[in-house]
Amino acid sequence: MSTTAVVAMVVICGVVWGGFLCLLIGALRQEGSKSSAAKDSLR
Amino acid sequence: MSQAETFGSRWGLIIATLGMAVGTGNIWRFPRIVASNGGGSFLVAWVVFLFLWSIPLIIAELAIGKRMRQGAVGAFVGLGGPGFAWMGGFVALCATAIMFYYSVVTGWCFRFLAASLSGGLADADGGQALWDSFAGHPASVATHFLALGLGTAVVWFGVRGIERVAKILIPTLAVLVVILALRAVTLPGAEAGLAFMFTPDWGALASPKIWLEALTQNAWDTGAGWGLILTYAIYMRVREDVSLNAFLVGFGNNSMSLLAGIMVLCTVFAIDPDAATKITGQSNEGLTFIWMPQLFAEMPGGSLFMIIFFAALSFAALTSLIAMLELATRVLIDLGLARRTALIGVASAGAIFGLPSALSLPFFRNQDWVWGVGLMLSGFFFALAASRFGLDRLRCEVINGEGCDLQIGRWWNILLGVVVPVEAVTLMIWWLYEARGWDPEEWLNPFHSASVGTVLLQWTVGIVALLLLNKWLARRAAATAARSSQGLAS
Repeated sequence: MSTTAVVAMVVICGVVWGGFLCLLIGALRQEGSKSSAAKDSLR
Repeated sequence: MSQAETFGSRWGLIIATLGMAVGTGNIWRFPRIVASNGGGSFLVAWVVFLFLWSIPLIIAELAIGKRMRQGAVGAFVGLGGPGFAWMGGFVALCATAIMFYYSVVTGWCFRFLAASLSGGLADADGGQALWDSFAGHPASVATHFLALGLGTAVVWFGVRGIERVAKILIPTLAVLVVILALRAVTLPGAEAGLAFMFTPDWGALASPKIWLEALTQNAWDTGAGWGLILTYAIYMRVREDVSLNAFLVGFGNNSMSLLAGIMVLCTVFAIDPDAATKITGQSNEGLTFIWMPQLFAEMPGGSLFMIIFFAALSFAALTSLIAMLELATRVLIDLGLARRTALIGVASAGAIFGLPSALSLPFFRNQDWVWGVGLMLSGFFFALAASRFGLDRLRCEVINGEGCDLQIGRWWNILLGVVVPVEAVTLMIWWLYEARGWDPEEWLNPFHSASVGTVLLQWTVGIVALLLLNKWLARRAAATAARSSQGLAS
């Protein structure tokens, strides 16, 4: 495989899969803080 | 809306929506289109249109469903007034017409899964022999009914049933596709597949065809602009986010496509190094049901991986079929029917109107062509109706409103109000122009399988019927909306 192909693979997979993982982590953190806030408001 | 009529959690909504988006288009169309359009160059354009088509429309559909709490017809009346009912009707018509033949496709996947389990595809010619004796023959009617029956059984239990099934099938599908991709990249010679898929030809990016194919792939495989995401968004919790979930669905869908591309192209190139020219000559069904079994038959441990492949394809198809059944059912509920009566009506119509596609491959291809292009008009209607409602109003009141995790700026107004309509119109014109070249003598003949004439005739019949019914549709949807809000108030 040429260097260009490897770089393209890293960039494209990085954007798509990396983007998905970052968004997933972001959503998990938001859900965590929302449920903590909901518990606090019940106390 | 009672708790039983909403998704139990954010993950329920995301997984069900991903189940809708990830379908056979990701597994059988994406690798073929990547291979036919220059690999890496195509992928660049495909990522660009994730941002310029899919995500703006997914945000719009989620926001409209959350705000209107009605299916396609009622939501369009809520957005643009009674005059927009027929547009919502066209969106529902497109998705429902696709459902009629999609259950046939799901049935094919089930049949090939059964054959791979029983060892019926062990010979190199097993796939071809089964395809020739099955697709377009009465035997495929039984699997068409089976697929519809399974989908109906899930939708029977409402959104919680859909959520429960998606929570099992979608993670399983993801694991199966990852296993297949890992196996594919570890095959001797798989490197050629990766090189073919990712090596960019920068000169090819000057060709409009690459960009139009990339846009088409986004339009067909993310489910954006079909009305299906809108339908699931009806069941969002009140404090649910729109924008972050939309990005997750768009990226999640394209992540699966990328995995499927790696899986198919590495397998293909590992078994047959001269594969490039052969793939481009295949149809979607040819690559999946004839060629893939041949490749698996030649691969060490191939029979196990063939089972995994057809199981993944079956799960992907079934979860998309479930969403299409729910869309049509929800439209009938909004017109005043009880859920189960509506579902029985939809399933019966699916069983009857799917028969011609089960029995005739030319008819199946005709429907795939007519309503596939129709989806672009659906996307255009979404942009039009949202603009009529007010893009700033939708963005400020719903997208950036209660439960928002990711604020969306005015860029979304420009994308949905200007870029998406331009893309939709360009795509429709391009596809119809391409079709003119497929059969220069008969391109206007409405009785040809893939002509411009057949698209124009079927769209015209559908739109005229919907225009005639427009007042009735708008009145019924408005009456149901009024009853729902009275119920909420009391």
